[in-house]
Amino acid sequence: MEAAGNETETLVRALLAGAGVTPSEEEMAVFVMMYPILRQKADRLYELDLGDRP
Amino acid sequence: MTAGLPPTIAAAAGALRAGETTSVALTEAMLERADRLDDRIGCYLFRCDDAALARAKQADAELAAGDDKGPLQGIPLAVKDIVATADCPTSAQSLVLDPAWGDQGDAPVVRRLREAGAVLTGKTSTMEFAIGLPDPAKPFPVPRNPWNLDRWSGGSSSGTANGVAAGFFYGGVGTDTGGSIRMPSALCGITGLKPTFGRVPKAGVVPLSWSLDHVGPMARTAHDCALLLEVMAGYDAADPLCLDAPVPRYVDALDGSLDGVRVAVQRRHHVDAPFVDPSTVARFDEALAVLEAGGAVVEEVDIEAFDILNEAVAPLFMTEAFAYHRPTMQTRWDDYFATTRVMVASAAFYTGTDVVQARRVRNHVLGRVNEVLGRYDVIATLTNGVGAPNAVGLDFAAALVLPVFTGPWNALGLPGASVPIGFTNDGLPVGMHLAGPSLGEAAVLRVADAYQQRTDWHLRAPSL
Repeated sequence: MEAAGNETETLVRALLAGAGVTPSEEEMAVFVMMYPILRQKADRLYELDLGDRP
Repeated sequence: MTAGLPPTIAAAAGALRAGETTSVALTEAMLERADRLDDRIGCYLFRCDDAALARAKQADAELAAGDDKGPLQGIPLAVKDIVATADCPTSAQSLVLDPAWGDQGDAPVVRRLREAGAVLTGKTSTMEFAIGLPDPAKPFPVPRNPWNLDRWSGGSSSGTANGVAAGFFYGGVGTDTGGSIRMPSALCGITGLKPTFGRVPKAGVVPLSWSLDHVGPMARTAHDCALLLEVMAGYDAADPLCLDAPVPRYVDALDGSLDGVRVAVQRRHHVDAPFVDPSTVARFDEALAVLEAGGAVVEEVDIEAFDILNEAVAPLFMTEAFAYHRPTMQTRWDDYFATTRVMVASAAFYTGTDVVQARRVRNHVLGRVNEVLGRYDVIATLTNGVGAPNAVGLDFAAALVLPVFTGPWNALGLPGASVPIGFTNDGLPVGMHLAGPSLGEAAVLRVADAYQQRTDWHLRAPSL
């Protein structure tokens, strides 16, 4: 689990660095907490079978 | 409401024409009330007393001369401070927005209100750039809930909502990207309408999410919202997303009748959502019973994938917001409100594919909703499944899961109104959300008004 947590933190730091923003360490902890929740919600979008529809 | 004054725009308009009061008297009384109470409410960011009193005097003179511009003439109103106005600054409640942004003069929606003779008393508090939560560390008022000053008014049209509830003005302009008209309206016990996407021009409004932003009226009653919308709505070429469609006389639809009105009730993913206070569900059931007793056909539906649509809102919302704010967030991170910067920068966690899929989900659910709206006049849900949370120290993680059910209607672009339906067991207001078909504001307002003709929740006022 710790390895997964480290992977998440590494990914979150990379994504935010890529976006060019510089959160504090306290904010980074919030982002690391948020990331799996937001990804889980976003991944739900793919549960719907939309076939060929736009 | 202000003691001794007519309670609504419609009543004030009647009193002005009957010679029972004057616009100057209404404006002075409401400004004086704000003088006494606003330190505790956090409604206004800017006031324009001199200009308001001059407009009020002008309205009185015009009415005395028989120059009647309609029911908004001489009525004190206020404008959310992300909308440009000629006689007040526009800050978006932010240290970041260039003050020169507000130098463009009146936004079209403000110009229309002025041309209708409205008295604009000032600019109201918001969440920074119309997103996020209060940040007491920043030099702006924290908007409080007049029903309990320890609680938040909701956002982001915070000051327009708490100002109407506190009796500082009769109504005003709000904006709504994920619920920012309807959620604070529900939490403060007033009525708010998010119109169809593009129904009211957005030119002169600081953007948050171009595909989700809406401008709309907030007031005590659905009738007053109808009066405001008639003036605010209509095409303006300055907004490339504005609809070019005729504006009906919305008040003509408000006949009080519910006979034959068909109300679809979407309960799943609402009353059973996590953290919903059961007393809000009880108020919702009571409100539906009022509609049914009035002659409406009230039936439950279960719209496919409505819950997944809820997940489509954030990718659309945050990526567009970040596209706008990214350059300034890269250089002025700490100047943003704490929750603004975290929420907006969370867009970095979404992929382009997520945004495309969110649009596909939106298109799919819109088809399902339109099928339902082919059989029913409106779709009823709860607006808020809890009363107003604390104004200060609101936990960010808890705010993320607040059961507020407005966002999907922004993604769908369909009109929706929140009407007050009573109080939680803690004494905090609860709202019912009524949504209608594209350009179906009249249907929404008709049902909302008919409900209010049978109840008095919209006329309850907090003791301050």
